[in-house]
Amino acid sequence: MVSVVTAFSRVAEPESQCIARALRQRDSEFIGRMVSQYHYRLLRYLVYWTSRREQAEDLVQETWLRVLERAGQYNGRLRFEPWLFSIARNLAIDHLRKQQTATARHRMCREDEAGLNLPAPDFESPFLAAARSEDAKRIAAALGALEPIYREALLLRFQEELSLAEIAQVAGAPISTVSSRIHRGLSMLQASLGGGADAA
Amino acid sequence: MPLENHEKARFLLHRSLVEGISLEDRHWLDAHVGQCAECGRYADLSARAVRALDWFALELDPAAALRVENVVRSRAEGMRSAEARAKSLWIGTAVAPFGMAGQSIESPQPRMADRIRGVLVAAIPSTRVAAAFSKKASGRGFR
Repeated sequence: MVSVVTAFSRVAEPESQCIARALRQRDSEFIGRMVSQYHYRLLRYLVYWTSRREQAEDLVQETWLRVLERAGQYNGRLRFEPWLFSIARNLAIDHLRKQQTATARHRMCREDEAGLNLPAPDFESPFLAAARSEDAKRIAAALGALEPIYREALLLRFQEELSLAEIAQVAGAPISTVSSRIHRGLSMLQASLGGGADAA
Repeated sequence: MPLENHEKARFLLHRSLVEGISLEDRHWLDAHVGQCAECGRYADLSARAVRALDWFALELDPAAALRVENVVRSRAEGMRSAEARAKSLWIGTAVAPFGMAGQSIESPQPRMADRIRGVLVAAIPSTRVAAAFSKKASGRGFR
C-alpha cells in the first residue's frame, strides 16, 4: 500500500520538483536527459546574448556545471527554465565583460603601436546564418544591431513564452523595465520590416 | 478619426503581444483595426515581427550536444561519489567519540593496569610493587 502511495506521489510530483530532487541527488541519468532536452533552448538563448555560436556552445557546458554546483539553491517551487536562464545569463555577462576588457586592452595596445583601430570582426552573425527568408534576413540584421538585453527580452517572451514575472526573475529587473524592453525591441524589429513609424 | 484612437490602438497592439489585454479592449481594438488601414498595417507588421523570430532555427551539432551531456553526467557522478565519501567520513567522525568513550569505561582499564605494571616491573622488578600487582592479578588484592 505504502509503495502504491509512494509511486502515485512520484507520478503526481510536478516536473520542477522532480528536477530539484534529481539535482540534489546528482542523478546523472536524469541530469543527462535534461542536458539533452534543454540543449537547443539554452544554446539559442546564449547565442542571443553573445552573438557568437562557438562561445555560446562553451557557455552551455559552463551553465550546466554551474547548475550542478548550485543545485541546492533550486527548490522546485518555481519553474526550472527561469532559474536555468538566469544562471546562463550571469555567465554570459561575465564572459562579455571579460571580452570587452580584453578588447579594450588590445585596442589600446594596437593604437599605441600603430595608431590603427581593430578591424571589424570576421565572423558571420549567427542570426544571418539562421535566416532563411527575406523577412528573417531583415529581422536578423535588426537583431544583430539590438543590444543583448532587448534580444533577450524578445526571445524569452516570444520564443520561450515566459511570463513577464519570469522574465523579470531571469533579468533581475522590475516587470515594468522588462515590458519596456520588449516594446522597444519589437518597435525596432517592426522598423526593420518597413514599419518604422513608431520605432525608437 | 481622432489621433488618440490610433495611439490607443498601437498601445493596445503592443500590450496584447507583451502581456495580454482585457476582452473589452480586444473588442475595441479589433473594431478599430477593421476600420483603420494604417493601424491594420501596423498590426500586420507587429505580427510579422513576432513570427520572424520563430523563423530562426539554429542547426544543432549532435556531437557537441553529446559531448556536453557526457561532461555533465561525469561531473554529476563525480560529485555524487565525493559527497557520499564526505558523508561517510562525517558519520564516522561523529560516531567515533562514542566508541572511544565506551572503550575507556570497559576494556582499556585492565590494559592500562597491565601497561603500568609492565613499566613498574621493568623499572623495579624486585620490589613489592611487582608482588602487589601479581597478587591483585591472582585475585588476592593489596594488603
